[in-house]
Amino acid sequence: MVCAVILLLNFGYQTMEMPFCILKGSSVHDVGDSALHFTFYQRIEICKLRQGEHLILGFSIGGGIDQDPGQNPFSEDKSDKGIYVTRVTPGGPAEVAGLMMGDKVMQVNGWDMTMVTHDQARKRLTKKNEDIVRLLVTRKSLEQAVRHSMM
Amino acid sequence: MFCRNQTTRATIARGSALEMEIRRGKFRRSVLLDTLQDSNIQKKIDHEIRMRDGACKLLAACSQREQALEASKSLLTCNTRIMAYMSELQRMKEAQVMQRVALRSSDAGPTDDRLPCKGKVAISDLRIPLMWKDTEYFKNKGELHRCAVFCLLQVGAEIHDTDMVIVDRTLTDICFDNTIVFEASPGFELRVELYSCCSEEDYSTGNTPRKLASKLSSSLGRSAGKKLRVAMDPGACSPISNGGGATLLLPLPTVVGPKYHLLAHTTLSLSHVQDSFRTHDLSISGNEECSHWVPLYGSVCCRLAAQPHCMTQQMMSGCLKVKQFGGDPQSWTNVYGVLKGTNLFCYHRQEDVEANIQPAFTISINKKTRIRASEKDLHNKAQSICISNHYGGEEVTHTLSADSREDTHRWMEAFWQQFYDMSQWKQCCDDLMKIELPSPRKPTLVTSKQGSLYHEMVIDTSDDISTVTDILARRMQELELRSQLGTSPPWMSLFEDSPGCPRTHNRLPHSPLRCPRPGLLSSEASLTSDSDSPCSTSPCSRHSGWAEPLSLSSHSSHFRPRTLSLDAKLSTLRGRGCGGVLQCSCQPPSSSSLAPIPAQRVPQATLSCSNSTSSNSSSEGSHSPELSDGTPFSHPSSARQSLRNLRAKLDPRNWLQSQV
Repeated sequence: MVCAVILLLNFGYQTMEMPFCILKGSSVHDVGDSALHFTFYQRIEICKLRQGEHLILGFSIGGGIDQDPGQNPFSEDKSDKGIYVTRVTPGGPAEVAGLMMGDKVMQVNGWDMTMVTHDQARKRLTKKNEDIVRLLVTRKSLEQAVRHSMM
Repeated sequence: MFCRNQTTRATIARGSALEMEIRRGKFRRSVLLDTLQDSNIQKKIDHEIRMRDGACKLLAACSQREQALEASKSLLTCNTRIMAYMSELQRMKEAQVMQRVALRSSDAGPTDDRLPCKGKVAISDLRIPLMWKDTEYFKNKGELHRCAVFCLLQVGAEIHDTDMVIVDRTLTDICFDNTIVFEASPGFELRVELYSCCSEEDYSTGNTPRKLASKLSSSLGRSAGKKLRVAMDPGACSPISNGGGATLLLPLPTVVGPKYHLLAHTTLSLSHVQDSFRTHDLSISGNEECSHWVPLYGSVCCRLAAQPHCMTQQMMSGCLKVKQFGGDPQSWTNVYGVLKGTNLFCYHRQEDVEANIQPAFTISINKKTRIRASEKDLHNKAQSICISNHYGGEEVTHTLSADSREDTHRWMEAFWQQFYDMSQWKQCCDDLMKIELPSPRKPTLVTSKQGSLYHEMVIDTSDDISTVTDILARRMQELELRSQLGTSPPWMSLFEDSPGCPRTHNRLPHSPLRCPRPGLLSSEASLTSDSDSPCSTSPCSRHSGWAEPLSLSSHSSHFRPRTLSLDAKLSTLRGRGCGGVLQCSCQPPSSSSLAPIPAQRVPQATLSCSNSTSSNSSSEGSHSPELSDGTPFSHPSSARQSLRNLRAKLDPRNWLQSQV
């Protein structure tokens, strides 16, 4: 049973939707951690910034199905070949939009990013004809913060 | 009742208040000094604990065998260092206690022990011969049993490790190229330990689940460190005060990963010091049954050299008057004397020493020299020093006279110290041994900090982009010569000097841009290998084929900005050729402008224009450029550097990061 729950919590990100979580598990009434899997997602909308001739988003990514997942310093599961945010340029569009280092990028403008090569991921983010990219990210700290506030 | 306190040169009534004050004063001073030394050691211990934590984390995090072995080696070194520092600290505290006890009790005069000077001890070119069974060595049967080995060298509390070497059947000797230099006194004991570890099992996934293992190792490390810090705090209970000499138990964190075991060891001392290679025996622990066994021949060859400070540093210098014995009593020469090594150099002036001018003459001071201080000379009031040497059967005596009595005393003291040092350092003082300082080592791939070294692997591919465009430019030039196009397409004029259009590369001259458009695209066609062209268009956008560029360019009043990528670079080049529609703010040429383009390009162009950034991936495969923050393309430095970058990208060990 999967249900989406939108949590009305204020994280201080004023320009974004609140993070939401997907509950997967046997039943909603189970409280124990083992029964429920909390996965918290965050939607982030980044407006590309024009810098001279180029459109930049202001962050760096790492990972991909063609990369070695063991070298990812951000992933908890060292076999996770997803795309992670490895650096956020201070003051850049990504930072302004609320993207944080260590976020795992799940989707970009509707395109899946969990099973892509590194180059594919980069291309999906750097399309010339797109001024805005909408990312669906997940981050560990969110999980913790929400859990904390629920207690 | 009265005692002469030599240090204060005054008589003090024993048991008097003044005496107690003085004693307390000394006591407090010594405590201060001791705590200074203590804090040094504590800082070192703290540093090593941090290093150890880092190594544990790295060990838990790394998946490759080489990294795990390196991390395990650092871990072992850190642990050994911590133990050594702790025992040093304990020893110091014990000495302090003894000192305080001595002060409190009967007056112990100032110790008059003469200490020998310290020196540099260097061990280099370690070579450990192996003794494989003939059958194994020559037949090379089955899998290669490989072991990782390294040496740990210890003098007192100074511990150094050599690089790690992987040993297998094909090796006849284990060679360590490192030169390690210690600072030691002549009574040093250099302990050489050889550690080995079988490098075959898979340690990345042990029996314990990774998360649990890493949590255990990191949390234990931290708590152990905290305990250690609390215990080491001089304010809190010191190991001495609870039960006197209680050793602190250091709980070592359980770490999943390769473990090194001691394979062999030996101890070297001053008697082994020589200016050439020597062979020493090894005591081997372990036998064939162990997994970490490496068949050692039983000896180790190395070069152990020592440079005592008395041989390399100026021990004493000052103004002197020298007279050769038997000469004219009035013929005193004023010189500036420098005592260094086995010589007393006498310079005309003090400035000559720095200027590296040859000394006026040199008096040798070696173990055969006889020095004595003579009584007051009839001719002058001060004491003089006579130095006699045998130069080829002939005894030559020089008489030195210093300016004042204190100076003479100091020179005598210096000579005594020199003799003492030479007697302690023995063969090292015959000749100066050469010690080659180790050249700066290449930074190893694995560091023992948080593993954020991956952030440092910046791949600067502005060079690469330019490399590719250089290749393209060259091809264009080639094709220009071959091409038949006499006139440039009419739309080319739009790109000549219009400010709105993006200029890709200053290097590309104008003329090649005119003609070899076809060439450019065809070479691009060869580059675009396996692109995910059909599916890379965003589902959100509504464009299709040529319609989109036209509509978009009519929207925007400024030209479409580029993203910072290879795609962008190439697509601008391409765009200049076929799709001025995409770039130019000026009158977008209608589709009729595409007519000059040869037919074979059209399908490719369609594809490439609709898939804006995707289809022009370089043939290098999954490489992604990484550029420094916010800077546009920088001009490439050299082809070699870009080649190196290319190699770095091709290396599967790198975890690529791209800036978007």
